[in-house]
Amino acid sequence: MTPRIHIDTAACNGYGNCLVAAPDVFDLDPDTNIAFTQPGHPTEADHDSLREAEADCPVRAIRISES
Amino acid sequence: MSTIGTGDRIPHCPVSETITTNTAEGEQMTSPTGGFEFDHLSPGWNDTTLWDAYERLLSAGAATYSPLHGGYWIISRYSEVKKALRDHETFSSASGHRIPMVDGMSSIPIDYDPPVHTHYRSLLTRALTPDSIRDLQPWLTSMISEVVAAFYQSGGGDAVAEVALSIPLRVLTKIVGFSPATVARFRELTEDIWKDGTAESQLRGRAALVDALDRDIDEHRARRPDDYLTWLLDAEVDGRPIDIGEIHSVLLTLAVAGHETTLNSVSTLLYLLASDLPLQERLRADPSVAPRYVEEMLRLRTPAQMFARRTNRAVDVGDTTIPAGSWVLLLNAAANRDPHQFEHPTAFDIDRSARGHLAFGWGIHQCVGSALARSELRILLETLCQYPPITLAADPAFTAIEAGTHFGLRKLPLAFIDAAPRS
Repeated sequence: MTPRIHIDTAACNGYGNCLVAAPDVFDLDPDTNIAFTQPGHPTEADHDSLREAEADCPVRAIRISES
Repeated sequence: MSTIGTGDRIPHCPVSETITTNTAEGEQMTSPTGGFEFDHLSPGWNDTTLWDAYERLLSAGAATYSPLHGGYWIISRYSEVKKALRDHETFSSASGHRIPMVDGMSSIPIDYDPPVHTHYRSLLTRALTPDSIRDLQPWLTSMISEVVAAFYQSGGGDAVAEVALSIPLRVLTKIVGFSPATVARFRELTEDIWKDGTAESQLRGRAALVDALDRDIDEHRARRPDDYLTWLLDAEVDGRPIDIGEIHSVLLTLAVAGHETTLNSVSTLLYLLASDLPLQERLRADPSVAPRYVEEMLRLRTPAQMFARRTNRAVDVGDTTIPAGSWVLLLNAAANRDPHQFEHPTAFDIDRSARGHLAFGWGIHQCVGSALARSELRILLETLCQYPPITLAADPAFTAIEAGTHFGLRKLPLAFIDAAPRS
């Protein structure tokens, strides 16, 4: 199953914890400082780090679901 | 009951055992574990008494009450500290992050709750985006090389003044746009705030720092260089123009929190290396492990040790109910030594995973400069590998808990173990 990532861009306040948990998946937009997912991701292999990114978000802006 | 830091003092012992403690209402309360008073503001803390006190607090219970400074609850265990840090609705920051908190000493953004906090925090993240930190790497590398080269050329010396303070002050000129003359005064002016522990000295010290900042603000208004400070002058807060009080508060946070935390991080890291030659040898053999040294230092000797909150409602912490309206001191530094979270917690072990440590806090108030700090510390370690090993040249001197939060070194005399004399 491929994980699906939802980012609530209104809630995101640029903490960047997701970058620390899953550096290959997340990045922050240099202009808006809001999180986005990098192209080509995620894969199943990212599962654990994605769950960490979800749990680590201080404003709970990340939701991971399986599709 | 005797405690150091208030009234009668027992030198060198800032905690004292008691069987009973007073609740906020003044009732006598027996602590099932045998509580003891903890005074974070005691001048008597040192490198031994502080960590011992944390060990005792960790085994004393999930929440301990101290009747000092108007009364406050202490939470030290990892799971409970983390839970409180995440629950900003119950553990409010709006009354301040210090115990006791002086009126007029509130800081942006740490002393605010959402939604105001959210608006204020974005004023700071602007200076510290991941992208700008990445772009800063070459500059950091050359600046830190200069600082270490100068320290080596003079044969070492006090690493607190010559290395640990230089690095964050130079960073502040770069990322904010403060002038070198202004940042040169930040340490002295910050120390003045906390010099005699009174509310008056805090307010007077803050005013003196604001005066220093005003020079840079005027200069930026006149010349408008392309930097963060100029951006801040025209920033908006929730759709309205920022006011001068807010500009001052943001700049004060950058000026004070921006140097004090890194100062203690650098001095602590250097102290750990200088007192353990094999630790340096391992790093020199493989400098790619530098980030592990950084994280383990942050966990073991957390520079920003503790932050206060105030409860918005009654809350259960372990088997204790903390009433609504209570002051609570969250001991991040003790939580990072909780044996239930970190095995053999008092050992500096770079092979462990220090992941999840609370040195930068957790939740909405977590350190906005953590990526920058991590870069500075990693680059410093990599740079040191290009020089002979360091060693203690004399006994170091530790601080007490400065400003009710920070722990580090006051003096750290270092020398290089040189095979050949410098030319």
